Amino acid sequence: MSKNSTIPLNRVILAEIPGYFGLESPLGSTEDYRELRGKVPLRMSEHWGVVDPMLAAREGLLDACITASPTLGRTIFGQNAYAQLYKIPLWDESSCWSGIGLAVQAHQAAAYRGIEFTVDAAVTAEDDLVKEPFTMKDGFYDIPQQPGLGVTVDDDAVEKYRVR
Amino acid sequence: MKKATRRRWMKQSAAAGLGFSLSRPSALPGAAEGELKITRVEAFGLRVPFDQRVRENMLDNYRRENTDRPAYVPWIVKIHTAAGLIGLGESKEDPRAHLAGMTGRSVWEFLPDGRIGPGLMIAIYDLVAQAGGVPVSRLFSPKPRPTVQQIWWSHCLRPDLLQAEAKRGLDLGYMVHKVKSRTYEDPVEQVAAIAEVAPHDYQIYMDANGSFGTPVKALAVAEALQRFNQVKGFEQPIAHENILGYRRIRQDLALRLAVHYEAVDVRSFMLESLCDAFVVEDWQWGPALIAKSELCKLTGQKLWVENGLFTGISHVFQAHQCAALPEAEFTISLTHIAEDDIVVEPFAVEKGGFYKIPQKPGLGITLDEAALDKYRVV
Repeated sequence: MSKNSTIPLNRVILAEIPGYFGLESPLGSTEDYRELRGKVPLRMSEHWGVVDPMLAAREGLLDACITASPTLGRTIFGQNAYAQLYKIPLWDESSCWSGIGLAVQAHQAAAYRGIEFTVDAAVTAEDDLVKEPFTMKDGFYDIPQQPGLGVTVDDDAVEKYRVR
Repeated sequence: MKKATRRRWMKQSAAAGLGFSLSRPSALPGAAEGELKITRVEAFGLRVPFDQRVRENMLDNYRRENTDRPAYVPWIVKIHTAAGLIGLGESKEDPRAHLAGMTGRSVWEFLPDGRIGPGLMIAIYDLVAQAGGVPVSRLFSPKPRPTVQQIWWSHCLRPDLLQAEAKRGLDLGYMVHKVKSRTYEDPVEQVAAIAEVAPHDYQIYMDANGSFGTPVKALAVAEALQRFNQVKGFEQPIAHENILGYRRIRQDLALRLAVHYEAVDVRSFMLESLCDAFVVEDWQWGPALIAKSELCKLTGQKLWVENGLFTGISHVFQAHQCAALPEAEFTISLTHIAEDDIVVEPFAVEKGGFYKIPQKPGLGITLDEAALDKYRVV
């Protein structure tokens, strides 16, 4: 569950509902996370940098870090090294708004062992702008094996949604 | 062989996790013609004696330490391609087991594959950079630093010889000096000898390799050296696994502290900030070194990289890679202790020990064929 805003502690009865396993960005500050630590039987995740990564590792404040906005190259390389060393995995939603971005995320996650999940926000859009369906099988996506990203831009869809 | 094209160049660069920065795909003379096919690979085993000025003292020291090291024994690798480019590599181990099957394949195939060993990887990086028309440093950063700070290095020499070495380093431009500290020489006498010739802002780091033994002894040595402003830090004062001892030293030591990255529990040393710098000597280049640098960026700790040790090939490659890593504070090598570094261009530094990264495509150095022939044993 992601609220991206502060929720009162009395709402954590979510933990008792089957299927809920974690919270993303429920709080707004390092102090809040310190207060919550050890009190919630759910995995706690926060966007990279909201809590200082070294404080999070040192004090056990987070169970996962969200890597958002376009996070590629050296940046994701460093975050992956952190995730592996401190056992705080990454949830990658850095490019989740189209089929192109989803393919990028998938290739990236396949190469970096520190990435636990990739997040698909394109599923909420009317179209993901690529021809190949983003097919999931038991919760997993097979990495395209063609050269490059391995997806084809749907030019009709691009034309349809293009704003000039 | 698959044809090497711009598309393959970019794809395979990214696959190597290098963060390639090339934005001028026109700079692909060899690659565009598919001419990075490997036509021949050569390996040369060398035996390069220690330089005359320190040889006797170093041999004495190794005998005292029950170490059989009469000379440096690096391996040089040459990878030839169809385009006529030659990549140079250096390995501290015999690379010949990895050479089989390379001929006839493309350089690109090996770029993401560190399993061929660090010596061959240096040659692969050299070839990729030559093909791209850029210095090797550009393979690892869009904007590498123009210089790296190289530091002077001495074994645990007699005070008079150590003084002469410090003077030599100073005359060449070096201002940071790492000195081995052992029980058979008095560190106070050693530092006093250096201080007689070194300026106030000279920096000395004592590398005990664990020989101080205990935190109490390490702190006592630090106290004894307190009057010498030039002493800035200790490297591995006690055994790496003695984490309780490092906690004690860290609490009470007023000097900088460095440990070997590959020998400590890095997680603890980072989380508890138990050191100021990590020495890297594992000969792991490329992504492995970048990962260490990125982790240090989070903690504010530094890297002292001494992966490139025995000839000018690894030495200059190390400089290229460290220029791309802001967390690499110092680079260290042993080439100035050897009789020859097997490279034509002198490794000249500017005042402070700053080495200008060669800007020619590839490593930007020339193998000294006469020296190669002279020191070749295999």
